[in-house]
This record gives sequence, C-alpha cells and structure tokens, in this order.
Amino acid sequence: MRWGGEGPAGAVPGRASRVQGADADEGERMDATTRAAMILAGVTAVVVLTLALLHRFTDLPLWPRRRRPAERPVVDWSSAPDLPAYDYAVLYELAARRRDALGRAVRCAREAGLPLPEDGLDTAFERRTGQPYDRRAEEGVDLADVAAVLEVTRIGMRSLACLTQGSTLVLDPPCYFNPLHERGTERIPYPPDAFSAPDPEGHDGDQGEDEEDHGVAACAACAAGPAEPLLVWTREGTFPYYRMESGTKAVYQTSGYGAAVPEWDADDLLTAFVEWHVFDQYDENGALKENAS
Amino acid sequence: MTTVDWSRAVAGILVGLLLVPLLLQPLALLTARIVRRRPLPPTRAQRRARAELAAVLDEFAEHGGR
Repeated sequence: MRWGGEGPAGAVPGRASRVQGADADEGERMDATTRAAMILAGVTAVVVLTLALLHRFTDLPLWPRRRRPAERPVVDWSSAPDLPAYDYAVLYELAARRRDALGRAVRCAREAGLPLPEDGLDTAFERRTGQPYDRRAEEGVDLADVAAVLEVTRIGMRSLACLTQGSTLVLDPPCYFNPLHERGTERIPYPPDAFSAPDPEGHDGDQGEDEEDHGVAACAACAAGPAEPLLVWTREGTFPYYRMESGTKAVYQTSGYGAAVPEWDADDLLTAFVEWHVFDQYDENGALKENAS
Repeated sequence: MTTVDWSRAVAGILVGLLLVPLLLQPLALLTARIVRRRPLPPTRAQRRARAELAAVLDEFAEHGGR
C-alpha cells in the first residue's frame, strides 16, 4: 500500500488528504467564528448605543425605578409661622426643616448647573446649624439663633427663586421687634434701648446718625401699638432679643435680623448672619485674633 | 458543515460594549450637536435636578414664601 495513494473504491483517504481537509474545516470555522463575533459586536453596540441615547435625550424608564422616597413634611415658609407657641423645640424643628429644604434646593441648583457661588448657603448653615437638638441648650441665645436660621433660610430660598426666574432679589425686612411677625412694612424710629449694629463689611461711619435717620422696619401691629418683642430667657432674666447680653454680640441681633439696616444687601445679611462670631474673632483691623476659635 | 467557536465569538460582545463609550456615543453626540447647531439639551440628571428644584421652589411659593 502506498502512502496517500489511491486505494480501492470507498476506502478511507490518505493522511495528506485528511490533513488538508482538516485545515479547510478549521479555516471555515474561523471565518464563521469571526462572522459570529462581528455580528454579536454589532448587535451589542446597536443595543447599547440606543439605550445610551435614550437615556441621554429622553426620560423613558430604562430600568426598574428604585422605591420612591418617603414624602417629606411640608415646610412653613411664611414670615409669621403658624405655630401654637413660640417655644424653642417647635422653632428648632421648623428651622431644621427649612435648613434641610434649602440644602436640598441648593444641591439641586448645583446639579442643574445654575451659577451658584462656591461657598454655598448649605455649607455655611451646616457649620452653624448642624448640631442636633439638645434640650440642655434651650436658652435664650439659642432661640435667637433659631430665629436667625428661619430668616436666613427664607432669604436663601428667595435668592434661589430669583436666580431661576432671572429677576433681582428685593429684600423685605422682617419686623425689628420680632422676626417671626409679619414683614416689616412700616418704618418707626430706632428703639432707644436697642444695641447699635456694627457693619461686618465696614460700612460704619456716623452709624448712630444713620440709624436714627432711617429707623427700623416694623410690622403693622408693632408699629401701631405696643411692640411685642421676641423675648429670650437668660439667667439674668427675660429680655427682648435685641437687649440680650451675650458673649457673642451676634450681628443678626444688633441689626434686627436686617430690619435696622436697609442699606445692606442680601450678601451683607448672609455674611453677617452666618459669620456671627465675626466680632469676637477679628480685631479692629480685620485681622484674626490669636484666641479666636 | 461549519461550526462556530462560541467561546471566541462571545468576545464580540465585549468589543461591542467597548465601542459604544469610546467611539460611537461621542460620535453620535457630536453629530447631534452639529445637526442641531446649538448646544445639546441638559442631561437626565440635570433635568431631574431642575424638576426637583422647581418642586421645592413651588412649595416655597405655595407655603408662604415670596
């Protein structure tokens, strides 16, 4: 028998022909595999690209939605909140809700690409209002702080609303005697027993004369009749907030939460309200004191 | 009869997955921008953020804010 030679009819072919046949089958298998891979690649690319473009340009739900978050409590943003009693716990809860709502709004505004300043309102508030509620801290100075949070969060939300609408923010000052009253639509002479309001931006000048000139904003009720100030309790007794002696003469107190300083704009107010240790930390020349916190 | 080596053909799926973010989607977005002749619309995340912000501001206006 010869190698690779022809054998009888119907006999098994020789080794060389068997090798050649195997090579041909291998080539065809590679081509088929390559074709299959290309088809899979094309189909995959088309499907993924379609999903990506649908995700980019539409709001179609492309995958199961996560469970909807629980409904948030409604926040009372009115100037004079409808509260049964102005006690610390109730106001603290309202201030915390306003702070959370403003923080959420600021975060959404940043994600939406609105031009917000780098050091946003939320970070400033967190530095000051992030402390948990502590009943042992239920003192007069904290009540005044909480009232400041209520006012400042309201200013912040109005600023955001104006930013989205493209309008200019026009400040509406609160009532000097109680920032939880209706807005200060009236002008009355400066209370003689109130502290003065040094300006954190250095607009001081003949401040006493300026204050007596423009007076303070007050709600209609306080302007017409005996004023009902926001009373805060201290160890020395109960006083209107603007008469309260404290280690930190907070600017929001001395400025009446903005009611006594009509020349300040929103930036001045927010700077004063948030940086309310400024007078303890900085000296006359604006340099940070050595013992400042 | 030819058979497919599916262990190698599956690699095409990976190639397809890589092609989309590296080449196809950027080309598609560029083409869309050229055809529209204006910037692309905001992304889904931006649209959701704007919707949520609008809801918060509507609540602010509805419950006493001005």
